[in-house]
Amino acid sequence: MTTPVNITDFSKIPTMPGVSPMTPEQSKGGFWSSNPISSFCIDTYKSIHNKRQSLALSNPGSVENLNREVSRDVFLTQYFFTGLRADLNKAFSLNPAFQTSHTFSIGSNVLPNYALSALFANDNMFIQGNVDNDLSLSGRLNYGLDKNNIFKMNVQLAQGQPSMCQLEQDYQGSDFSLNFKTLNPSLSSKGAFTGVAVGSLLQSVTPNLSLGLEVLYSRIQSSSPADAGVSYLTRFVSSKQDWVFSGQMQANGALIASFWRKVTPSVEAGIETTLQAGMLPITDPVVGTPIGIQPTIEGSTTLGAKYEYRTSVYRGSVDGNGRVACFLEKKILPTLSVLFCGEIDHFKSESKLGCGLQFETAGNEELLMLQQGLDVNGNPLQMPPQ
Amino acid sequence: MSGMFSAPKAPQPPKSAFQKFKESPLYTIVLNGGFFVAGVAFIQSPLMDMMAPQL
Amino acid sequence: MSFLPSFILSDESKERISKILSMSHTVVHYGWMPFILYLGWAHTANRPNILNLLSPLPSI
Repeated sequence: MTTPVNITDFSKIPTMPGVSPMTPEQSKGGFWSSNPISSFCIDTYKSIHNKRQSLALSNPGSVENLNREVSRDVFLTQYFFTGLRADLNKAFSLNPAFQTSHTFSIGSNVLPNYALSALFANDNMFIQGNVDNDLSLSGRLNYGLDKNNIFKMNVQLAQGQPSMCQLEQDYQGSDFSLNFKTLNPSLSSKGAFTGVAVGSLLQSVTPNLSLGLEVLYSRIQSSSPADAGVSYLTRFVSSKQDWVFSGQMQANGALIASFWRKVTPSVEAGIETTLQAGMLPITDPVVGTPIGIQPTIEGSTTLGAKYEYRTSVYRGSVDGNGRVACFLEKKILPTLSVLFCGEIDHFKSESKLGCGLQFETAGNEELLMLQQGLDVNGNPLQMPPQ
Repeated sequence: MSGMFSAPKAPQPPKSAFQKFKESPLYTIVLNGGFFVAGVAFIQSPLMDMMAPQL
Repeated sequence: MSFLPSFILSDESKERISKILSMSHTVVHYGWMPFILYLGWAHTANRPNILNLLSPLPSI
């Protein structure tokens, strides 16, 4: 006669191998990890998370910077101006950065005659403002809530013009970037949203390739119907990070492809092609009334290069529509740089010209020494303060 | 239609296939696509390396 | 927001909201630059005076 199994000793109860009610970790854990349903969810999440970690993906960068190497660094459209201008920058402090800038300009239909701008930046905050002689203000505020979250605000206020306010929240995950922004948001009396809202996601798929989606919803007036669209984004970075391809298919019918390459540490080249599809009304040649619409496609291709040296930056670009442009920035003294930009449109026989001077001054003696190329120990400075 | 509007209708030579192609949206696509491919090939080619000064 | 109809639709609160909005508009318009200048001034070691802060000339 065998001894009966002690009924209180559960460990002696024989279990079938595959249907063990609890693994040792499960029986040790609390309610959530011992519960079979939630533990299944947690385990699935953990295995997906481990799988994601094992792919060794890096953050793809924000959607805003999808083609920044080409359109912001290499191309000169961001820097181009016409007429004469002088910038008097005065730095007060480097860490945290604080500087004011006075800009005088004549002969330009974009730049105001006089503008005062100020900039303050420390580790988790960047605030910048610009006010011109018509008292119109444009301001930017970036505030880092933590390492991954950045709140951004853009305001543009002008007398007698509609004001603009854009709120933006940026989240940079381990292998994806999320961004939500809204322009002039408001709720009408009926509770309907008016304004523009954009949400975007960029996800790394392989260490080189990232794919993204941007959803736009806009409703300018509460009486008019809303508008929505989806844009598709892609970005490919080579393994050596020396070339980048990015493509965008935008909701408004634009297809943008750009390519960037770092040729040598001081030379970069880029190309960008834009195809914009649209609808053109066909008018009756006799009566002049619209009789239909026909699709049109406008295209432009720009090829540009940037040469960057210790005291000078040169940018040049050639356009498929016959435009040749260049921008030269040369530091002739540690505290004075000269800007020159010119553009010739060969097909339209037009040209534009801009010249500028940039003075750097300081608000205290230590910074003045720094700008003269000497630091506190009398050693020459590598990079002049911007 | 009165004669005033339809009078100066000189007999036009028929458009060639290339002329038709040049006026269609496809021309812009092909042209800019060609520009892009040629530009990428140029940037990736040793020609671009030669344009960078050796310092 | 349709669950708050009477609250949103009341004329007084509507007026109040538009007043607050126009006031914040004015505050941002005239307060943004002074705010940056104050932040910078407060974080600069030598606390430049207002003339130094606004003049483009170097000040030692």
